[in-house]
Amino acid sequence: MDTYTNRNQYTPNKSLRSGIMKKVLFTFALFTLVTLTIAADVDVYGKLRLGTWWVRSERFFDDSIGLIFDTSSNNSIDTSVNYASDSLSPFYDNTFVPSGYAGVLFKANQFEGCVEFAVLYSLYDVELHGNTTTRYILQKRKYAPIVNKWFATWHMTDMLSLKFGQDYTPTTTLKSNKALWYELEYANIGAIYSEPKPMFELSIHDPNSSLFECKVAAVKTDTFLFLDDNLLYDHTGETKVPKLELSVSGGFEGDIFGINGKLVGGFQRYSNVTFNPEKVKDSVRTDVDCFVFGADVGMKLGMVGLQVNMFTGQNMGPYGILVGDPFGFHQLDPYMQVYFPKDTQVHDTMPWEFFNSKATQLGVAAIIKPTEWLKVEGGFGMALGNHEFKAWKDMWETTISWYIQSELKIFEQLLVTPELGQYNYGPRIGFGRRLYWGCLIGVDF
Amino acid sequence: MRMRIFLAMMFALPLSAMAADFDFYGTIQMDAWWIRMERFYEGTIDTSINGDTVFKDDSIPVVTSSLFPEGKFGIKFNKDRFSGVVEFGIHNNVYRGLLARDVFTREYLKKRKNALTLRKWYAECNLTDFFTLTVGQTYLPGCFIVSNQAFFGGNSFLNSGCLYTGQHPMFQITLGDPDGMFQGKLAFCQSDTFSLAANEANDDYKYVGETKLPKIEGSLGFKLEKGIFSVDTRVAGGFQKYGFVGMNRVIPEKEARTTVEAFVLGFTGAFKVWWFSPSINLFYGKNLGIYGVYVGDAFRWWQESDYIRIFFPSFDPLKNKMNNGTALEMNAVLNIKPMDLFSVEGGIGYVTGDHDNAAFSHLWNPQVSWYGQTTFTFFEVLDITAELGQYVFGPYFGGGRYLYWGTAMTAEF
Repeated sequence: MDTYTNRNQYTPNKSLRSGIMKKVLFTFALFTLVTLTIAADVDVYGKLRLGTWWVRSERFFDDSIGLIFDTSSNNSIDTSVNYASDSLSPFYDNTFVPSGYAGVLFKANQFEGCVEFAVLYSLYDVELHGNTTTRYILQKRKYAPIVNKWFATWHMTDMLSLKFGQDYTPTTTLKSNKALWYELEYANIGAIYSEPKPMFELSIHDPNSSLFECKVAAVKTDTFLFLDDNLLYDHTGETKVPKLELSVSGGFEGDIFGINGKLVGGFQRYSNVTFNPEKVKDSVRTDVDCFVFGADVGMKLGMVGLQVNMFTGQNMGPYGILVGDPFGFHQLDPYMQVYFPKDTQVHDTMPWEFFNSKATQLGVAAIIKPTEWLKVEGGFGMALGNHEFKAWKDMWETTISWYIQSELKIFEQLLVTPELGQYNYGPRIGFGRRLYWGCLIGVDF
Repeated sequence: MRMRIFLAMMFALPLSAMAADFDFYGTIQMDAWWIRMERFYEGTIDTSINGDTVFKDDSIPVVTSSLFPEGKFGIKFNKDRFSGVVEFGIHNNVYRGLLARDVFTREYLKKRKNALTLRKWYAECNLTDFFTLTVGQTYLPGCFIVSNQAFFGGNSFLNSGCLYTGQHPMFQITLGDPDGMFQGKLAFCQSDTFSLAANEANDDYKYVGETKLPKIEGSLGFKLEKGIFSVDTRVAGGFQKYGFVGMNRVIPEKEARTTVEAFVLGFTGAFKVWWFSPSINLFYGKNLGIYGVYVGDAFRWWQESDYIRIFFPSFDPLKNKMNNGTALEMNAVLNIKPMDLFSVEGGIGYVTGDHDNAAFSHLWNPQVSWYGQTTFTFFEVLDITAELGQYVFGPYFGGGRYLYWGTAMTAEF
């Protein structure tokens, strides 16, 4: 029998202490068992790359140099920002760029986990900055280690999995192997790419094959703040519901023939709240609807493969899709929604008129692989822009890009990829074209 | 009985084997430093360059303490003839304040943040026994680091005679005999460019660098170890050339182009005789700051002073002339290690320079620095270092000196 003197003082007898010790030991042992089980299966992988590129840049100007539309002030022609700071004659840049991924995979029972670092340019620091010029971007871009993936997957059944954490979202349809810089440059013209994002994702897949899969994800909603030069107002984004994304993919893979297809769609809504700090009632709340839907179809016949990607959407910039260009020519207008006054004057009071942006992109990549150690690939991308705001629509030129590369595989792990390509942003003031050539060398572990 | 069954179950568990071709490593360091700073002034404060608010605030000796972590961790891969390294570091974000003109010493110390940085990211392919190809980011061949100075993560002595060209993305070929006695390296990396000194700029112009060719850097080394004697020597050199384009904001047709050349040539020798390990560094170069050699000081005083100008070219748009800076740097370090548990080290560094622009060279005075330290090693992996040192950046305007003391604890895994 236990001996209690009062509720705060008690001296358990020996048998009780023994029982507690057993429970403690058992709990400790159980914990150790679980820990050992969870930590039992670990693998590390690395994909280390280095590219060196030469870029020949040309920008287009007309006689009214300095009268350049400034994306940082959305309602006027701004003479203070001038692209005359870019060279009139072709300009060359030679860059050395590390890229790739390194990560750790965990497996325990029906769980998987992944922590992956990537080395990328700090792209977004400059991409949304309206008046940065090309060369400054090239020179100031830094290589930053970022957390690319950070997720766990629970395989609830053979068919059903739940992923939570940060990973590529279902709408990503990147199928090009373009090598320039960090192997993502094709994403901005011709393929849907949204960087890895925090999400919950439910996937249903065929237990007998990995070729059919349906994914539904709730992803963090992105917002984008409007820029205007009416300093009376501040803008902020209000998010109430997450972004929803869906993809359905299927296909067949044989030795000679293969086909794959993927349909994707995503939608998000947030509120842009525009308020006047000096006059509280003078505030406006506008719902911004952003969506994207597209298809990605691929086919393989012997040594030849073809991949076609097409998508269209509204306000795809705030949606979170990689848009613009890798050189900072910031073709962002067709991707950004905007408020504008009804005439060209700066207005001190709301409401202004709200306009949505629309854009469509097409990407095609063809692959020929005659042997295990040689692959030749070419790609073409096109971006068509539209905008409810007529001035922006009129300024838009169709953007075209292409590339051609060959990939040589040496010693199984060593990949050497020379590549030539071009981006052409149309003959508008401040825009131009880039021709690039170079080589990517890398080793997979 | 229940416990025995339980233990038996534990040992019977199939433990998955770790993959054999990778390894983890790391260094964790914690620094605590006190710094006593003085700045020198003469004449009037030049508000057009520095702004008086900056220097007035630094006009009396001030002691600042700082406490921060340093270190690195990484993964090594090995597979057949290939190896790879991924290494991240924790460092003060030294470079973040580099181009901000409103950064000055004490504020800078306070604002320094610890950031995750990419140190190494490369793969190596041993094509033959004597030929290796490296692709990715690692140290360039011209990195002479012989000092164990602990101050600010060991980075601060780099500017005092250590030829340090840093980690860069590059292609590198290495030739060496299988015994490791002779080794030659040749690397190609991106040329660095830099906006020129503002006082020679014309407001109508905007200057940028055009790079057509990579920077080339190479080294030749000799190593020998015999009993209580060892020697490790190296000569290194590098060269880069880039186009300097002045674009006229008002009249684009007035665009002007010229070239900037930068080079470095140096020697390092590290010796060991019994307890004693003396080493020396010596190098000379033109436009070293442009080239990418670590110059300046840990506190970025040169950012607001004339000190830095010696390392950078300046362009005179009126004469269409490029003025170049040259510098000679050297240091000597002596390490005495009578036992595994204890070592003593001291070092002295010296920097002098000249500039085509007489106004810059007139302002220049040699920089001298020194340090002394003792290191105790416990449990083979834990180092505790106590250190005292000083930097003197000449009596020119905006220069100064600082005395520091403190300790660093380092655990290596």
